[in-house]
Amino acid sequence: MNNDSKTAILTRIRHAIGVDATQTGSREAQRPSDWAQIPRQYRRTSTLPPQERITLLQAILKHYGATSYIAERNNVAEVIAHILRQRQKQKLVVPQEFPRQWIPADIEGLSDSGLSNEALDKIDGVLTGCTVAIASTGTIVLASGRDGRRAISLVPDYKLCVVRQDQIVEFLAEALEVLQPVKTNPLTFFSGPSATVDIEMTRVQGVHGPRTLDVVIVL
Amino acid sequence: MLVSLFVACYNDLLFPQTGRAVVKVLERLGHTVEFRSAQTCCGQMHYNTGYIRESEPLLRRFVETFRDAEVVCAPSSSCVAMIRDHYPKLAREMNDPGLVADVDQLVPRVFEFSEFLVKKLGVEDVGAYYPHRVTYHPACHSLRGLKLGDIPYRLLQKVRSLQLIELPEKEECCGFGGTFSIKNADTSQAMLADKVRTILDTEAELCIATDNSCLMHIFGSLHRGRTGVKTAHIAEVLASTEGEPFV
Amino acid sequence: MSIRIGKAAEAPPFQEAARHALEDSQLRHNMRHATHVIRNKRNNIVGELPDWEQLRAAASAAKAHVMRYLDLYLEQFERNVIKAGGHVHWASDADEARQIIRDLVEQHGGKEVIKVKTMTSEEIELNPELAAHGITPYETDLAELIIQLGEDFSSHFVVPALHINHLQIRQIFKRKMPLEQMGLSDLGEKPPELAEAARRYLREKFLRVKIGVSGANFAIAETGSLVVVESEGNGRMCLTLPDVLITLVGIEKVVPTFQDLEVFFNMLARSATGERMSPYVSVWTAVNPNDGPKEFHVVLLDNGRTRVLEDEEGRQALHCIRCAACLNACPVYGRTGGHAYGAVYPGPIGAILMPQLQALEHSQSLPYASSLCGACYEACPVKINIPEVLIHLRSKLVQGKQEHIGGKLSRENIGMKMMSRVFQSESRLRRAHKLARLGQGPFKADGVVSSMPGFSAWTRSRDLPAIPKQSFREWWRDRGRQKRA
Repeated sequence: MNNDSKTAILTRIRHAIGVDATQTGSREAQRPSDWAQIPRQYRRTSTLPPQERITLLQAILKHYGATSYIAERNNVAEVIAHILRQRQKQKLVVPQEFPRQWIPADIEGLSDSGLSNEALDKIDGVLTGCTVAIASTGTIVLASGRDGRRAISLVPDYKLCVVRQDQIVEFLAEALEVLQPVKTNPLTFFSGPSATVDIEMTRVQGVHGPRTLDVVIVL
Repeated sequence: MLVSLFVACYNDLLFPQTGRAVVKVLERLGHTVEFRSAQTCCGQMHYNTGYIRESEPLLRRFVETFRDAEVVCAPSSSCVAMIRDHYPKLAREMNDPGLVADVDQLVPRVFEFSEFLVKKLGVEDVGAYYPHRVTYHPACHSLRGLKLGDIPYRLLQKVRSLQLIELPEKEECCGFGGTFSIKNADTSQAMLADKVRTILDTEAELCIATDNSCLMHIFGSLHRGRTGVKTAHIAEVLASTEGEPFV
Repeated sequence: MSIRIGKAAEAPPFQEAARHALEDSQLRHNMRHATHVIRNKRNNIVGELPDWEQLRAAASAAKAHVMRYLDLYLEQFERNVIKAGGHVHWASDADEARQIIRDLVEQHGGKEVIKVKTMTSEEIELNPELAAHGITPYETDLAELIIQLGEDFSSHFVVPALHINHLQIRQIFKRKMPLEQMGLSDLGEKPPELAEAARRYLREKFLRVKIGVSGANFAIAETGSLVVVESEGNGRMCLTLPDVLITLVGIEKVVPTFQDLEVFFNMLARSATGERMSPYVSVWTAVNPNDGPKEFHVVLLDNGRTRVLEDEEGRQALHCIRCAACLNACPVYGRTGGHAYGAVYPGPIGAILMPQLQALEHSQSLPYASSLCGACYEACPVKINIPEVLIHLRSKLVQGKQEHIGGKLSRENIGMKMMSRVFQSESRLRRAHKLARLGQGPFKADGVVSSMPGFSAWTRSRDLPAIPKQSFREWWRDRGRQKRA
C-alpha cells in the first residue's frame, strides 16, 4: 500500500513541475551542475587569527551563561580539577575516547560502557572533548563515536567540555567541512546551556539537558 | 524639462490640492508641466484586490497615454510601485510583445514626486518655507516598494523654519492597504489606532507622507477624534513659501 | 485523497475571528509585547551579519533548486535512510499519515509516546487519533505542554504559547500538574520557576517512555539524515532515549547536501528567536548501533504540498523554513494573534500556504488578511515574495467567484467591473466625478463626511474628506483657458 503512495506522490511531483519519468536520466545528469549554480557569496573562510577566535568564542559563551577557562597543554587535568572542585562535582561519566591524561586523579571518571538512563540521572556530570567549535556562534559540536554517545551529554545536569585551540573555527561553513568525515554519525551542536523562550519571549535558562556548562580551551 | 504629471485617480477627485502643489513646485524650479487628460488610473486597486483582468485595460491606457512622454512624475508612491514592480510582469502575462517593449521602455521614466526631485533633478532645496511642527509617516510602498530611504527627509530638512519630529514606530503600516480598510475594517482600525497614537506622541501639528491614500486613512481618525492634528501630502509643504504659505 | 489541514475547514472567516480577538485586551498586550521583543532581537542579530543578503540569495536559490528536482531528492533521501538501517513511509494525506503512525505505535504495543513539537503532527491531527485508540501522547516542548494542559491551540509555530503570559501559564500548571508528586508545594510566577516545574513534570517521562515522535527542520538527501533545531533539550531527549523513533516530515523539507546546512543554520535561529544559534541542533542518520533508538521510521508527508507545487507562482510558499519571522513582523498577526487565522500555520506564510494546501477550498479569507505592507517579505530569510503570492491567490479566488452567477452578481464584482469601465474613458470618468460629488452632497459638512449610506465600514470609525468642488483636471482645464484668454 505504501508503495502506491510513493508512486502517487512522485507522479504528482513530476506532473507539477512539468516533467515525466522518462526524463529522469537526463535530469539526474543535470542536477549537480544546477546545484553548483547556487550563489555562495556569503562568508565561508575565516580571516581571524587563532587568538581572536578564542576571544570571540569565550565572549559568546559568556553571553550564553557558560563559563570558559584557558588551559595549557600540560595543565589540562589541573584546570579541570580546579573547576570540578568549585562545582563540587566528583563522579562524572567520560567517553572511552577521552584522553586519560586529562582526567584529574581525584575524580571518579566513569567510563561510559552503556550506562543506564537511571545511572546517568544520578551522576554528577559529564566530561567530554569535542569535534569542532564555532567561534562566531559560540557553538560546540559533539560527534557520537568520538565524543561519547549522545545520552551522556544529555541526561546529567552538568557538562564540562574540553576544546582544543586547533578545533576552533570561525564560521559554520568551516565547521561543516570539519564534520564531513563524521556527517552520518549522530551529531549534536551545543550553543549554550538549555534554555527556552516560550514564556513571553524571555530567554529562561535550564529546562532539559545540562543546565550548567563549563568549557576548557586548551592552547 | 517637460514633466508629464500623472496625478493619480484618487488625487484627481479627492486631493486636487496635491496636484496643484506639484505643479507649483516644478514650475518654481523652472520646469514645464503638462497634464495629459486621457490619464485615469494605474489599475492598482483592481490588481491588488485580485481583479487582474479588469486592471489590464488600465495598464494599456496608461502606456498609451504616456508612451512618448519625456518623463512622468506622480505624487503617489503606491502607483509608482504598481508601475515599477508589477507592470512588467502584468504586460508579459498579457501576451503582447509590443506592449511588453513599451512597458519596459516607459517604466524607467516614471518617478514618484520626491524621488523625482532628488534623484532625477538633483534638487533638495526647493525654496520652501513652513514654520510648523511636522512629522513624516513613511508609506509602506515608499519604504519597502520604492525604497525611498532618506529622500523625503533630505527634502524636509531644507524647508526653512520647519521642525521635523521623528515618528515613533514609523515603519508600522497605517492599516489602509486599499480594500483591506473595508474588507478587514476592524484590524485596519486597530492598526490605525496605534499609528494615530504615535503621531499624537510627537505633538506635531501636521502629519505628512508621499501618499494621500495613507493620509486619508490617518485623517479619518485624527479628525474623528478631534485631535486638531492635520494631514497633508509632502508636495503641499514643499510648495509652501513665505509669500504663499500652505495653511 | 482528503483535503484537510488541522481544523481549518471549520474555522470562521478571518474578519469574524479577528473582530473578537481584537477585543481581548490580555491577548493584545501579550501579542504586542512578544512580537516587539522578538522583532528587536531579530533585527539586532541579523544586523550583525554583513552577508545577510548573500545568505538570503543562497537560501532562496537552494530552495528553488530543490523544488526543480524534488522527486529525485526524495528518492535519494529514501535510499540513504534505508541504507543506514531506517524505514521510509510515504503518506499522501493526513488520514494516511495518522494510520501509519498509529500502526507503528500499536505494533510495538506502545500505550504512550513522547513528542517533540512538530506542526506537521497538528496538521494531521495526530494527538486526538492516538488518544482515541488508547495511546497517550505527551507533548514535551514547554509551549506545547502549556497548550496541551491548557486544552488550547497553538497560535505561532515557533513559540506556540505566545498568546499566553506567565501568569496564565502558572494557572494552567497549578490546575493540571501533580505538584506535590513533583516535589513542589506551590508554584511561583517567575518564568524560571515555571520552567523548573515543566522540567520535573517531564523528566520521568523522558526516562521511561519507549516511543518517540518528532518532526524535522531539514531532511538531507545526500546522507538520509534529519535535523531538529531546538532550545530546551526535550527534542534531544525524544530523539535519543526511546527505543523507537518516528519522524514525520513534510516532503518540502528536503535539502540536497550536508553542506547546504551552512546557509540554513546561519539563518534559522536568527530569524526565529533572534539568537545566533539555537541551544541544541541534533543531526542523526537512521539508527546507530551504540547510540540512540534501535528502530527508526520516517514518514514523508504530502498532504497538499504537491498541489502547491503545481502553481508556478504560489510554489515559493514551499520554500518556508518555519522560522515565523514573517509572523513576528506582521502588523495584522501582531494584533489579532494566530487563532484568528483558524490555521495550523497562521500569519503571512499561513495566508499563502493554507489556501493552496487545501486547493483553495478552505482558508479563503486568509489571502485578504493583509494590507500588503511587505514587512513579511523584508523579514523572510528565503525571500518568499508573500505580497505577490497574496495578490496571485486573490486573483484565483476572484476568478473562481466570477465563474458562478452568484459571484458575477456580487456587489464587489459589479463595482469593480464598473470602475474599470469608468477608468477606460475620459468622458465616463468626468461624469463619474460629477455624480460622486452630487451623491456626497447631502452628507458633507465643513469639508468632511462622517456618515454615508453604503460606506459604513469606513465611516463607523473614520471620517472621510469631502470631494472638493473642483477636481484636479477641471482646475487644469480652467487654468489652461485662463492662460489662453
